[in-house]
Amino acid sequence: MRSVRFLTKLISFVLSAVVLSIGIMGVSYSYFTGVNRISSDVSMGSIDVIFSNIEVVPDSAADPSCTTKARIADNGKRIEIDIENARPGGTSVISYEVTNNGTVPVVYELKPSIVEEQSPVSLNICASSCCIKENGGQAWGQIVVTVGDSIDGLRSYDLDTELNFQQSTVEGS
Amino acid sequence: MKKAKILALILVASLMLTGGAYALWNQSVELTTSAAMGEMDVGFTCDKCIYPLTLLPGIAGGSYGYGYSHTYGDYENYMNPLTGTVSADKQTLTVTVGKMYPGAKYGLNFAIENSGDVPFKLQGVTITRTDGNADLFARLKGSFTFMYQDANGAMQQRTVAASALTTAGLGEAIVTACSDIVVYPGAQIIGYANQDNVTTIMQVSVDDTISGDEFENDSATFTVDFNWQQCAPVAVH
Repeated sequence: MRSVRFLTKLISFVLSAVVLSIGIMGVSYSYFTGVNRISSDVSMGSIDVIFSNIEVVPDSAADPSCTTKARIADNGKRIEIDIENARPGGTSVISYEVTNNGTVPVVYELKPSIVEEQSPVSLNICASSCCIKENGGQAWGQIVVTVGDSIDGLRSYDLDTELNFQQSTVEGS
Repeated sequence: MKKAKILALILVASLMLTGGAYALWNQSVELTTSAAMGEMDVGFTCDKCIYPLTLLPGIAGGSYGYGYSHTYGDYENYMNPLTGTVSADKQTLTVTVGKMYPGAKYGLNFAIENSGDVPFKLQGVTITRTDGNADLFARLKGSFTFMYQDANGAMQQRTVAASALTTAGLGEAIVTACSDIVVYPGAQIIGYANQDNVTTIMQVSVDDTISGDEFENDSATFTVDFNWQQCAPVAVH
């Protein structure tokens, strides 16, 4: 009998609490509210520098049997240069043109050429400009391959170099 | 029997007297009450709305060639498009920024104006990525610098440091910074301005440690919702 009374009281208490909560929620919900929205669409640009043209510079003083061939590969991202019948002291000069199809200006970041240790073949790059404009801006340069006097007549040498470009520095307005 | 007649007579007389009293002049005054609700009206206002806060060097000098004549020129804004417009109902500010780059930063300069009848407070800020690259969105940061009018009418400044564009990050930081700010009817929350330049109220930046070709030509779309609520009423005793 006692437990039945307790249960009745408990149910009454819970019901009262629920009713009170709903009442409070109703009061809170009745406040004025408003929402303001900022809707943003942010798109990134790009850097896209390619070799757009190369040309082997003729050298009348060179041995006619020494030939230099150059071609653009990997959609303009690489140039391959083959020099045949190189002679000690000989040089080959290749002119190149690079185009920045990206949306921001870029600057050269020339890295030292990677060559075999104590290689008699050296590679130098001369750039026409420190920076290239965006949206089709161009720059020119020359690659000079020099064969040292100590070249081994029976060997072939591999050279690899990179022309690195990076976005120019940011400045706050 | 005689007593009964007397009682009946008294009763009739009483009823007549009551009727007589009721027939006396009487008049009532009427109290007409009309209760009109106030209006909570909060909206964006801005002129240009959006500004580039970073620039990149342009190219100056003569023709390219082996003369090596080219040098850096004046700094230029490369963001394109860079637009911000407020909707006709002043509830939404739509921003479009293109050709961003690592380290780039843009600012929104707008005012939040209480053009209604009731004071309100900031209840919450919800930031949601709605489209685009989630990883790029995670590399964006936002910050706030604004001024408001306190209860005494003096202008005060608040700054919310740059943090991730999330509800838990920048959103909660803004709510905390605004916890004691009440925007009264006619008052505004505006960008901080000094003598020489205007600091935009909201700034968004792209992580400057992005390298290689990461996120090139990617995009991210997001919304920032400011949830306002009428100030809680205070009982007057």
